[in-house]
Amino acid sequence: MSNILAQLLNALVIGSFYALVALGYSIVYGIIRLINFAHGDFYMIGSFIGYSLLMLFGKTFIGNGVFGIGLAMLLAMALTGGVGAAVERLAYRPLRGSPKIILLITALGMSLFLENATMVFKPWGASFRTYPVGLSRAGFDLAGVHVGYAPLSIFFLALGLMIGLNAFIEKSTVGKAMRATAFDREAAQLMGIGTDKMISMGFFLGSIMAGAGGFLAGIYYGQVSFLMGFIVGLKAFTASVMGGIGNLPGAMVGGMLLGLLEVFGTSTVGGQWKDVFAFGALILILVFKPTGLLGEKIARRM
Amino acid sequence: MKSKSLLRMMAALMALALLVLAGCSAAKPAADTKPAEDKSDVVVGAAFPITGSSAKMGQDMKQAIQMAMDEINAKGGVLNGRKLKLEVQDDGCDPTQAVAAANKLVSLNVVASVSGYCSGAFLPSETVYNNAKVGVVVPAANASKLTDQKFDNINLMNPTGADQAKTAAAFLTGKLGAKKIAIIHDNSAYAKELADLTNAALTGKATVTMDVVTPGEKDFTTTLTKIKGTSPDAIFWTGYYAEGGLIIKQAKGLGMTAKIMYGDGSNDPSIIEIAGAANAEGTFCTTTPAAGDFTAAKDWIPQYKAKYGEPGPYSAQAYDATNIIANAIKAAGSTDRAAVAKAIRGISYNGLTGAVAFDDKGNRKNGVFLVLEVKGGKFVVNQGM
Repeated sequence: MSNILAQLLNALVIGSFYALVALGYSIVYGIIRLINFAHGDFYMIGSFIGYSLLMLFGKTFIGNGVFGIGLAMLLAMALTGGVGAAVERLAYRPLRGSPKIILLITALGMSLFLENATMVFKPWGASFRTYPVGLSRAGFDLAGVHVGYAPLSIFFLALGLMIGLNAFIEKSTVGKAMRATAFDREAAQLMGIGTDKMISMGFFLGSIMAGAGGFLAGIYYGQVSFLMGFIVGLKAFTASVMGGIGNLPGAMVGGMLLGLLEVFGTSTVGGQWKDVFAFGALILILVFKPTGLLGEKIARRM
Repeated sequence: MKSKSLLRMMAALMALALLVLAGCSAAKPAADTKPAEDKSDVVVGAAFPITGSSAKMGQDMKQAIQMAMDEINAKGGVLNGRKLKLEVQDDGCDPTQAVAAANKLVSLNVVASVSGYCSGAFLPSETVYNNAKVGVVVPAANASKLTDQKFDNINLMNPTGADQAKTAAAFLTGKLGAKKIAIIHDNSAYAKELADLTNAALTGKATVTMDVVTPGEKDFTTTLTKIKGTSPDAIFWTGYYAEGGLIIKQAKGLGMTAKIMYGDGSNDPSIIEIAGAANAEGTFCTTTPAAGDFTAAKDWIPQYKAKYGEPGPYSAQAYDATNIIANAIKAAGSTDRAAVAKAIRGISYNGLTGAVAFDDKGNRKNGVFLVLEVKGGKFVVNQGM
């Protein structure tokens, strides 16, 4: 029993990271129907920006305390968002009218570009980097299981970010304009919405979430590398398909579900079967519900 | 049948005629001009990861090879003053890329090569080297599969996994007194083999559970929570340091008290940094002797440090490998690949890593494994040579 509780806690953390990254896939897919394969690398970039900021803060009066970490996280999110918007502006916008396949290949190329650029960039480099600060193991005991504050705060931070993002898209004027763009770009343009700006906004918001995920992963696991975005990107893409790509709550549900499936798979049939188990479940879901769990209806895309 | 043999005979005759023709035309200019003395560089290849999660190891080996070459060249090079030149290819610790790297080296006309860090990546490239008759001295990789094919050109600087498994099993059940042991590997050729061999060596001495994790991931708490449920006395990780550091950190985070030990794939100070010095304290590592463990390397280490900083775990082996190749080229008296490969196999060389000689499979004769312990955030020898 205590084992199940401990594993649930593990699943929450893994799921949080998948969900944060999955959101970006969903937003971008919702607006321009592009599967942005470079998205996992935004997560990696966020992680590295956070690493550099924390190194920098450690040498200044800001320090590596709670304030320093908070500030580094916000800055890492903002800067990663900027990288995401810049990638859209430079690589994807010039190809707006081209066939889908060209955009897709560009996204793959962008992914390789970001990884290798990080690798040759001297302060980041090819080897593993260790975050200068880590989270403490403090926590409380619940039914014989040590529940750390760190995993809990990661889960609640991720949840807060997702709820905030959802509220922004649902309630704000900009959010409404983004949804209009997703729904019918031409009609939105005719109504005076700057659709290019809204698409940039989609990339910006998605990358912010990935940046937050990357920063949290860096500080939680303590180790970052230029290839870290690959597996997470793949899994997050799976999560967003599972939940229904294009749908924001779906991305959260999909991320958490994938985390749970992996943990359940590992603890029942063993680590080597974990992915078989999780992807088997994905296939089953798609067979019975091809649009994913919370799959978008035709009339609503975000 | 008859027509076939007739055909074969005709083909043979034609080939013979061609040879005679070629011989005539080639012989003529040779008769009146003396062949110019060849002063071109002798190219020696190297293929190991210089990008990806093991990039640091590749960098360490590349530096050691370059250092050895600079010294050899300063002393007048090989074969009447010809200089050695290094060509490094990235194998990315990936089987496909390693084969491509080997092909590239062959096309660059390397005379011999110092290749192989990840056994799983190096294994398929062996055939490429063998077909091209390129003599290879392997500075790091040491899965026993590597020499099972009995290629006459592949030689390992390090003792193989079988020796390591024996050392690990004896230490786990002996000094650590473990009765229940959890082995974790990452399904790579090297890690799985070490896990299987250790498991075999532990039969009858301890209860063993086996678990697998995916390399490249960062969260191993699920597997560790599962292992915690079986309350083992010791955990043995057979994979590489990037995941190893996280496994140590997360195991301690889960409050596990089992002793943690890992194989030589994790033998790098980075594992202590990744795990956190406090977490890594008191963990053990089986390893091939590194530069600091060899008495013969005492004077060499400061020289290396002055140029590149701290030597990596395979720097001394890579340095020796380069010298072995240089000696073999001298012994062969030519840059003919097959002759050099033959000379490497027959080498008897006294280097930083002690006396080097290879047996008929290409395994190093008299190789040993050490056990290191992390004390005060550093690896110190617990069980010596």
